[in-house]
Amino acid sequence: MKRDVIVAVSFLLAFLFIAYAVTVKNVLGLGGAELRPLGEFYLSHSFAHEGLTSHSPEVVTAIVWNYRGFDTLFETFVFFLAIMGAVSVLRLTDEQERLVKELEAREPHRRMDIIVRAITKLVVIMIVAISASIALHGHLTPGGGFQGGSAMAVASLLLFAAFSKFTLEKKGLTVKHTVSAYALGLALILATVLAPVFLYGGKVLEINLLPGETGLFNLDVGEYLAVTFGFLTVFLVLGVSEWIFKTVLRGEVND
Amino acid sequence: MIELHLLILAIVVSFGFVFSYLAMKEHDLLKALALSSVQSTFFALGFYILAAPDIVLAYLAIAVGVYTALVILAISKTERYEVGE
Amino acid sequence: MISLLLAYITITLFAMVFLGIYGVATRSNLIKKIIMLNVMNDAINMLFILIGYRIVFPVFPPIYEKHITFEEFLSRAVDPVPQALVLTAVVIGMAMNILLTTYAIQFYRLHGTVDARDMAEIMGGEGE
Repeated sequence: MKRDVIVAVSFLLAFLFIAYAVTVKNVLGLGGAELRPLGEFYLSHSFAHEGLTSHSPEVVTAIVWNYRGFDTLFETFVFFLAIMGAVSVLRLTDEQERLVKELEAREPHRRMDIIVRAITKLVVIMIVAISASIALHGHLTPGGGFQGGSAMAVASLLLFAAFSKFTLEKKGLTVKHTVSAYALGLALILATVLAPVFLYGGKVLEINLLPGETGLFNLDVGEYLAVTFGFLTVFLVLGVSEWIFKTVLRGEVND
Repeated sequence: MIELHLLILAIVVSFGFVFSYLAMKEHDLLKALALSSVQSTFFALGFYILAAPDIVLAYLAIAVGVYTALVILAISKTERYEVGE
Repeated sequence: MISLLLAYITITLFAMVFLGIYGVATRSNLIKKIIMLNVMNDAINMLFILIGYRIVFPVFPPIYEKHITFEEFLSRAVDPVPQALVLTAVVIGMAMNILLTTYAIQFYRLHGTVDARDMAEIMGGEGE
C-alpha cells in the first residue's frame, strides 16, 4: 500500500514537471514558424540541379534512402533478425513437420460461401495493384517500400481468412518459398548498395552515380519484396492449429 | 485559420486518450484490442493533419492491419479473459 | 489561443505515455502488457512529428511540386527530418511486436499460463 502511494506521487510529480518544462519554458521548441537549419538544408538540396542533390522531389524518401541510407540499411537487417528469431523459436524438425502435415490433412475441411470466395479474389487483386503502385512511385509521391509492403501483407491476410492455410500450402505457398523471396528482396538491396563500388569506382551507398533514378527505384522494389514476404512468413509459421501443435509437442516431451 | 487544424488535432488526441484508457480497464482482451485499434485509427487521422503523408500510409497498414491480426492470433492461442484486479 | 491548444495537445500526449507505462507495470496478463506498450509507442511517435510542425497557413507537406515557387515552398513546408526518423521507429516497433507475441505464445504452450505473477514460481526463482 505504501509503495503504491510513493509510485503514484512520483509519477504525478514527474508528469507535472515535464508539463511545466514543455509548455511554459518551451524546451522542445514547439509552435515556431521557422525551419530548423538541418530541415532547410534537406528541403533545399533534395531536388536541386547541382551540388549535394538527390534528384527526387520527395524529400522524406531522399532522406531515408540517400542522405541517411545506412540507418535504413541496418533497420532492414534488424527486421530480418526479428523474423528469423520468430521462425527459429517456433521451429519443428523434419519428422514433426511430416506429422503436422498428416494431421492437417485428416482434419475435416469446409469451404466458405461462394460470395466470400468470389469477392476475396477480386479484392485481393485490387489490393496487390494498389500496393505495387504505392511502392514503385516511392521516389515521386508519398509511398515507398515499407508502405507498399505493409499493404500487400494485408492482402495476404485476407487470403488466410477466406481460404485456409491448408489450401494455400496445397497450392504451393510454403515457408521455403516465402523465405527465398525474402532473401531475393534483400539481395536486390545489397546489390544496389554495393554497385557504386564495383561498377563506378565510388563509395558504398553513393547511389547518385547510378544512371537516372535507378538507385532509389531498385531500393524501393527490394524493400517492397522484403517486407511483404517477411510478414507472410510470420503468419505461415504462426498459423498452425493449436491442437496439432500440442499433439506434436506432447510426443516430444514424452520421449 | 490554423486554429481550426489545431482544434481538430486536439479533439482527435482526446479521443485517442479516452479509448486507450478504456482499453486498459477492460478485462475481455478482444474488446481491449478492438478499442486499441480504434485509437490507432484516430491517431492516423492526427498524422494526416500534421502534414505527414508517408507516415499515414505506413502506420495505417501496420497498426490496423498486421498488428491487430497478430494479436488476435496470440489471443486465440492463449486465454481470452484477464484475471486480476 | 494557439499556445493554449498546443499546451493541451502536448499534455494529453504525455499523459498517454504515462498511462502506457502504468498499464505495463500494473496489469499482469502478457497480452495486455503488449497492448499498453503499443499505446506508449504511438504517443511518442506523434510527439516527434508534432515537434516538426510549423504554425503557418496554408501548410504544405515536404513534397516539392512544379507549380510552387521555391521560396514559397521553403516558407511553408514542414520539417522532413522527424518524419524520416518516425518511419524507422514504426517498422522497428512492428519487429518488436512480432517477437513479443511469439514468446508469449510459446510460453503458454510450454507452461500453461500467461500470467506474470505465476512466472516466478515456474522459472524456479526465489519468490518474495
